[in-house]
Amino acid sequence: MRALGVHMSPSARIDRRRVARGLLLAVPLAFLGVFFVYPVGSIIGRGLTPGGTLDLSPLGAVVTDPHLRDVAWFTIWQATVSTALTVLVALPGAYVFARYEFRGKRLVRAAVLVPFVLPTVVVGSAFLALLGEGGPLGFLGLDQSVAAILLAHVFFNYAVVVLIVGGLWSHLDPRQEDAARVLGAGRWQTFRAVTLPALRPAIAAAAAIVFLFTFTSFGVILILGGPGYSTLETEIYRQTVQFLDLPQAAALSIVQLAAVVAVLLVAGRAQGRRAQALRLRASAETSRRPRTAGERAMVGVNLGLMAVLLGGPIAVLVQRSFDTAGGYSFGFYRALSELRRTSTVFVPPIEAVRNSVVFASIATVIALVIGGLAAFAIAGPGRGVGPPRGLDTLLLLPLGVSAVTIGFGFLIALDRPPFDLRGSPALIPIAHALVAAPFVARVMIPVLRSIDERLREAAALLGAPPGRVWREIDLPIVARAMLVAAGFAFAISLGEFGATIFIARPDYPTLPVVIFRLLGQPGPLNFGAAMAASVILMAVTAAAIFAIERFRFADIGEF
Amino acid sequence: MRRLLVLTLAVSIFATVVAAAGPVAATASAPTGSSGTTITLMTHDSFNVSKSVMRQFTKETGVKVDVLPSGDAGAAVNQAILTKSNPLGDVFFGVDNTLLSRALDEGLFIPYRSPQLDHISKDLQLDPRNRVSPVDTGDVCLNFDRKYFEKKKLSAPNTLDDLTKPQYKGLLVVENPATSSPGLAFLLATVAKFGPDGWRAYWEKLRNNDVKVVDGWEQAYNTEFSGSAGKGNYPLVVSYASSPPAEVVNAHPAPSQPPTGALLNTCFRQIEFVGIMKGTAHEKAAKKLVDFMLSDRFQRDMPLQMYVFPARDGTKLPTAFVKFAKVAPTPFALPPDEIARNRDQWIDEWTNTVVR
Amino acid sequence: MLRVEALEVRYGDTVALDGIDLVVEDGEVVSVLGPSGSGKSTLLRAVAGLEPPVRGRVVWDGDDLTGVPPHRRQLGLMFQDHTLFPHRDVLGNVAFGLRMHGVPAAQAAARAGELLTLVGLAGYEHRRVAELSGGEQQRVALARAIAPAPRLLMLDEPLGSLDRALRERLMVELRELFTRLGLTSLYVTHDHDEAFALADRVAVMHDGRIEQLGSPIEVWEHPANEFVARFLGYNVTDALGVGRVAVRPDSLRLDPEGPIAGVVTARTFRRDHFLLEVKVADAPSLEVAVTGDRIPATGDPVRLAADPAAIVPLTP
Repeated sequence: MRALGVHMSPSARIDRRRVARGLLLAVPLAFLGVFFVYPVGSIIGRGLTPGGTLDLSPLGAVVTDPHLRDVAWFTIWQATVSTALTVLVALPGAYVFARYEFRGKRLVRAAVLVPFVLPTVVVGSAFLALLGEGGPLGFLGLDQSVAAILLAHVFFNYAVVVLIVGGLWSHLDPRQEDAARVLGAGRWQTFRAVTLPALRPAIAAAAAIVFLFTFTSFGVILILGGPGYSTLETEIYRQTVQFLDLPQAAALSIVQLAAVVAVLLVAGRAQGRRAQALRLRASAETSRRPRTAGERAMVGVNLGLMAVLLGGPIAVLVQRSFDTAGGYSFGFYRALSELRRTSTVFVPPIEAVRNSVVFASIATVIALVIGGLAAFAIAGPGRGVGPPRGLDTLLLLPLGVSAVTIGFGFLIALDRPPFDLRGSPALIPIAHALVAAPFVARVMIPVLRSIDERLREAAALLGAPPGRVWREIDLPIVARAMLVAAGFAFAISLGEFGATIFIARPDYPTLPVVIFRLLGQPGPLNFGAAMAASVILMAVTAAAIFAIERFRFADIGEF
Repeated sequence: MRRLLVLTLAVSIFATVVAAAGPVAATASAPTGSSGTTITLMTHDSFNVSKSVMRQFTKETGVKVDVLPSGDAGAAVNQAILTKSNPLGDVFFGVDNTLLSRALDEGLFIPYRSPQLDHISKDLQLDPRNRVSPVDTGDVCLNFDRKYFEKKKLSAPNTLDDLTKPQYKGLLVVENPATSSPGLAFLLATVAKFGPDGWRAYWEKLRNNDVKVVDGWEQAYNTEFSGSAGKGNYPLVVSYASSPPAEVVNAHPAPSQPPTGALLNTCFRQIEFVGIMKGTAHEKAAKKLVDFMLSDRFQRDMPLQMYVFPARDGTKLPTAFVKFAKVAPTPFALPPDEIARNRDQWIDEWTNTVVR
Repeated sequence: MLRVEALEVRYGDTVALDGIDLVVEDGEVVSVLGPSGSGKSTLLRAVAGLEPPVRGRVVWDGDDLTGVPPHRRQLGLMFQDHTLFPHRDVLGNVAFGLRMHGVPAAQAAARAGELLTLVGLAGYEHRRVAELSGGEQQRVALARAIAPAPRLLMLDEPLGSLDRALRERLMVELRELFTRLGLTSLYVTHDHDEAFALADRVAVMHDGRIEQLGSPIEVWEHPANEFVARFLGYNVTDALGVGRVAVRPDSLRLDPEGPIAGVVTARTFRRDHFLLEVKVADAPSLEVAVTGDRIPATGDPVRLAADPAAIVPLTP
């Protein structure tokens, strides 16, 4: 018998997997490095080195300024409360989508994303029509109040929780809940002991995203809160765009970053050590028509809530888009293609739609590639060989940094080859993808983590090489989450999130740009046409999401 | 699975094809066909001009113009300052008298005395070294809802002081000067009127008279103001002297009288300037564009495109302007360097006085 | 022929496999028997290539498999449960390995159909896996594992989660299947009935080592040491006066003249006998299987005798 050699070190194969994952991760990290860390670092660096030498005194001043401490506190407070409210209001909605079938379900699911894309100034006017003096809800006295801020945050972010949590929920085996019920657990106990732990990764992901959106919320604070409220985001905007006080803005940006990192890490820890592998089922197998009166009431109440909360403001916009001087008509829609026809800013509505769809498609592809690679590197095959925990949480950072900081960072950092993107149309989808890619990753990670590693092992033993395992196991199971993520990425771009709104950009008018331009001019035709353009934006969004949602993977079975 | 791959592929191909075909840029000039110079006009988001006018410029000079909108006026100026070592454009339009000193102190522009300046009032030429040239003026004035005051049998306020009277309590909506350019202009009007020591007391009275403050012009005018499309609750708003004619032009059917009016004793005059950006590689072409923007052809086009008044003397105004747009006889004014020195502090004090 | 040589696997500082040597001849079924935590599942995973060894080798017909990734080892592994692909129907699961080996779809479907018939699930092709009962799921898992004709089939507690009756029926079916297909198998279980019923040879594992390796009869009749004896249900006692010995409960009988005196402390009914727990002075309790109509009750004093032929001496 041959002498027994010592083979590979115990972790040789694990090391090889680490390398593979490192390579996967390299692409998203490079993307974030070039388009996030570098620009943000540049603008903060410029602020901290006025006259070429490092000067940290503004940071000290910010930390000790009682007013700014109030601002920081209010920022965190309103984001926390907004997040909690959104999760509370939307969880029942997620349940209804996950567990029940009803007529028009797919349409409703596409429609809940519509608020997500609407410009705040447009929603603000709809809210005001409802909440302001003289509006049907004016008696509540919510105009220019914290309550209006919170309500608007729930309005904008409802879809985030419903779609992310509902996505995982629909794959949970209802029999586990049944089993707990049989064992004598009440509905609430069952939810807390069985369902909630399984949902926790998805809830954590959705909550983190909502938190960051509300933490950096800008228009809602200014428009619905009124001038009495300021957050770190509005202060950074003021210092950068109005006063050009870069040292002050840099100090505030550092405080904002620190707060975001701290909250994300705490939340990441609260999320629990590791996501449990779940026995996932195809979503079609877990939902059914409501049977008892209680179930029908559950579905009804939630659909009613959506109709009021989301449908109310939307209905106002639709009504206004038709409410012309001579009665209800398509006059404002016609005006869209007639107003200022001879001027340089004129864009036929169909071209604005086309620009929006083109940019959104490109941004979605970038976001899916970047976010998808990051998700697989973090939560893909091979448990225990992933990058350090917390990386998935930190991936979300671009959502937690002021769009002004990123936008102005782009300006001063990306001004030389090979990254001279100032004035390039490429900047637009890249800026959108910067927000959408972390979103995509964060939506996919909980689902990937819930895949039982033994499924991948079984596939490997049946002869599937690693790439094939990925295609045959991970991809189909995560595909639905990926479609949800794609829908959000598309919506993020359609709604012009990201740094683009604050920076010089080549003149490719998208629908939101058209809306802003119309609102910037006096006269009822401009206002009405802006409403019409908003309605078109909503329709394009709903149609796109509906198309994405309808997509089915025929040959691998619905999952 | 194959469908997923096909979908991914299809989306990528679709995106590539459409991208190659190009998202449709709203280009400021017609393609020249010849290999003329192309220059970039950096400006704010409200910039607008007739296509035929820009076509004519390109035809006459062979210079093609790309427009680069860069946010509101403040954001555009600040971006120009941030990037001055590697400028984004060749010509900058849209710096106004409230931002002028900052832009000049930062050395954004190179001097150029356009021959066209001979046709422009000396009063508007605020930079003796001609680093910038005045293009247009706009008066930020209170607008009022005619119908409201007729119905209430109340006369509209005439002066700034009137606004503190009890009969106008809760009727005025203004923009936050920290986030809005007309908001800042109105604050400057009160500073000019009541002096650096008196304006805070005035605003305290306004506050006690329930002035409402909102974030920006869009919200104030479109949403809160009762005289325009939004049908809000406030019959008095800070807007422009040119807003009433816009209410006629941009309405269908057009009313014979604007439903709103401007209060001409409450105005602050904004002057917008154009300048050649330091570091341009196309100084000659840039000069041609400046000349053109001061010429009669461009100046005549401006009123209905941007709702401003031409700076050039004797420019023929459109009918709606002649009929409905009034120019303030003696608008409030402050020297640009005084504004530059004090504006941040005034805004802070205003914030403390009015909204905290 | 599978040869495992001095295989050692560690999880951090824990030694999961401590120098395993094992041979499985072609067509042979070897059962790995042991309590949970003994390392038997790790052995399967290491042979499959899912756990990297610190030292030692896995060899097939002379080829060293140690550096070969799992998908190229041509070994089959059937997990205990939960490993059917939830996004594929029954056919999609069974045909998976065939597809991975490049078998054309129609051919793969036909072969999968045959295998489903073989495991008694003809006509189940388009069922969703979540709709199947536990026993049906295990049959599908078995069909899936043998579909690509692995040169070695490994089964990890395949019947572990099933109820007793189903388990016993499937045991018989599996034995038949192994014989009919001439499968070379490594079968992990903690149940010695299952191991003895199915295996040509049994390896008893404890703390990452093989304690005993032999035919079921050898192991059953001559447990090599105290651990194996106890694990198989023997009494280990010094009370017989012949040193430390192992004796099966059914080799002890009630005998008024017997040399051992004790008191019944517990009485359990087992289908064809009663199992008494008898406390003996100065020694651990003994388990005694008794039949007949006069069964002592709890608290009764009894005397016991042992069948001398059934006493297994244990080396200290």
